[in-house]
Amino acid sequence: MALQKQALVNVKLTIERGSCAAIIGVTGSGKSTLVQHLNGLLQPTSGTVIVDGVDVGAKGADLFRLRQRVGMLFQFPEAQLFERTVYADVAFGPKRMQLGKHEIRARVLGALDAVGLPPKEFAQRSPFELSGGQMRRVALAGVLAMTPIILVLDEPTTGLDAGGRAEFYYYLQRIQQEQGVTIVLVSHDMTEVAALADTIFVMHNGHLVMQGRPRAIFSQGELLRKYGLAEPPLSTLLTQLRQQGVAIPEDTFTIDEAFTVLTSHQRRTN
Amino acid sequence: MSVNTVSSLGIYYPGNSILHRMQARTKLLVMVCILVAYYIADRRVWHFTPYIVMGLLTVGAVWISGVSFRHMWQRMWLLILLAVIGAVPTAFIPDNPADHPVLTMGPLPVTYGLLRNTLLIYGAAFFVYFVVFLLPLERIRRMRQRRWFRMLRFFLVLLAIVDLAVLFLIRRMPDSGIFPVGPIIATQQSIWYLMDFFVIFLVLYALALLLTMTTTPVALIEGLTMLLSPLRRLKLPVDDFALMTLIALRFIPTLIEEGEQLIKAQTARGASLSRGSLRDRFSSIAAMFTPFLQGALRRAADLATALDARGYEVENRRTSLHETSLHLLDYTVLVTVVLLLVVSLVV
Repeated sequence: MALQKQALVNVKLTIERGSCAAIIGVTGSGKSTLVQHLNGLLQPTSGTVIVDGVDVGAKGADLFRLRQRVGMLFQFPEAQLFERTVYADVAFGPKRMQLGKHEIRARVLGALDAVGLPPKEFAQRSPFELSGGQMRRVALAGVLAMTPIILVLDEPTTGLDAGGRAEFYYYLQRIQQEQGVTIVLVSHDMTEVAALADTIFVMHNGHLVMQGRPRAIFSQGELLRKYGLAEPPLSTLLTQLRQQGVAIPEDTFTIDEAFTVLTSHQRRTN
Repeated sequence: MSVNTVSSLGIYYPGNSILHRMQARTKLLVMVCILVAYYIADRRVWHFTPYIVMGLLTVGAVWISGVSFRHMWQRMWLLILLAVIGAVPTAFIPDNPADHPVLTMGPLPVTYGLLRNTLLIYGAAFFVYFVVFLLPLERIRRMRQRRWFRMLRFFLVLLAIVDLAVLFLIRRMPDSGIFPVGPIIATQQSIWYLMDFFVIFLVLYALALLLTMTTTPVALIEGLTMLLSPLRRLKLPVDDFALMTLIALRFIPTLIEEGEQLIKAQTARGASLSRGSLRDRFSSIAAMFTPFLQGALRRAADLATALDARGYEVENRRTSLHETSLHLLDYTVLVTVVLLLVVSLVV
């Protein structure tokens, strides 16, 4: 049928344990399809997906257990909140894991703390009276309470304001450092990708077209633009400066590095 | 049934066949013609020509539309199955006792002893079967997770309950007593009704599917509004009806997509309809259904605001974006269909 097409073609990638991998690409490039294979919501029609030693596509793979180890947060995750209180909503996942009462309680409180919503203040409130950013963090807590070892986030900050985004990523980073979770992030926001990711995978039309460290990827602005993406503003600025004859090393990447390079440049020209 | 087979039910399939190029009005009129023809044909028992013509028209329409028969089958098999299950008993309910019987079965004289023995044997077999499947063997456990097996088990449990209930009811009856089964009578008329109901049901369902698959929702509603426009004289709210139907049709795919997304999100959080205790399953249903409903309501409120913001007024008459007249193709099709039906009714 004409309406169906192959969403992913010949994609081969490895994500290291404990790292933060970002998957970027324009709408319809296959990012979301790719990450939904990671906990068996989708199964490959051919090829294999191995997550934490489990072959997702294999017959009889225990996807229920796998989904407890691979937490997944979708776009607009506040739409999935449904309980009367924040506590009950976050407890939904752990309850389904057949944990004991005290264990559930400890996990819920821990998860709420981890996303910066003090349980004392928020646990008994209705999730629907919170702000957009807070609702998202409740949804994130709902996933964290299942103590996943891999966290898949599909454009988690779309539609949030700058403050909400910054907060969300602040807590995300903290969670990664404290709990050693592997993070797979699908995003449009290049600045955040540049700041968070260890590895970047670029998808285009269902193909994996680029992969590497952020420095390497974002120094190839031309190629990125060919795939409908743009490098972060800092990289654009540096490229323009280079075109005007300022000598800046190719691997300059963070604001601090750029600052050092530019101040030394200034001293030399003076 | 998986989510995918539902989502493609009756959704517009772009194409350029004759059926796609026909006006929505024409397609609707053809359906009305077939319905009228059916009511006339219904009166004459054992007169098959109109039904054959209707069937051929439907098959022809599918063929012309370019929708493959396999896709039609995928959308129809469940309904056909339900229709068969629902239709067969109606053949055995004679609404006119004086009618000529075609088939008579029974009454079968069954003794209570025989009945009791049969029930006991079934009960024992079920018990053995159940015990075997409780054995902690890996092979059996894997079999238990299959879907067909769970369905089978459901029916077997139902049967077992009925079995016990009947055993309880007949516990005082003497073994030699007679439990009459039947008589089951199928008359000519009831079989005719079965056939005629079955054909028209499938024909209309297939045509309705084709209609929505080859017509965009906007064109469909505009066609419907034009056909209904004489009713404006009677002060009936034709335009409001059109708008409501259009919005409903337009939002079906969106809601399905939203629902799929929610199912995925909650599945990722451990919700499952096929796992856990009854209470767990109910809470899983709530986890999927509550946010879905909230989303739909929120969307409706947003839409109302958007309509207001664009100055939509209920009172005014609107003009149509795709206002078009009937072409040669439409007249040809209409005349052909009407002629065919009339001839088939008369012959």
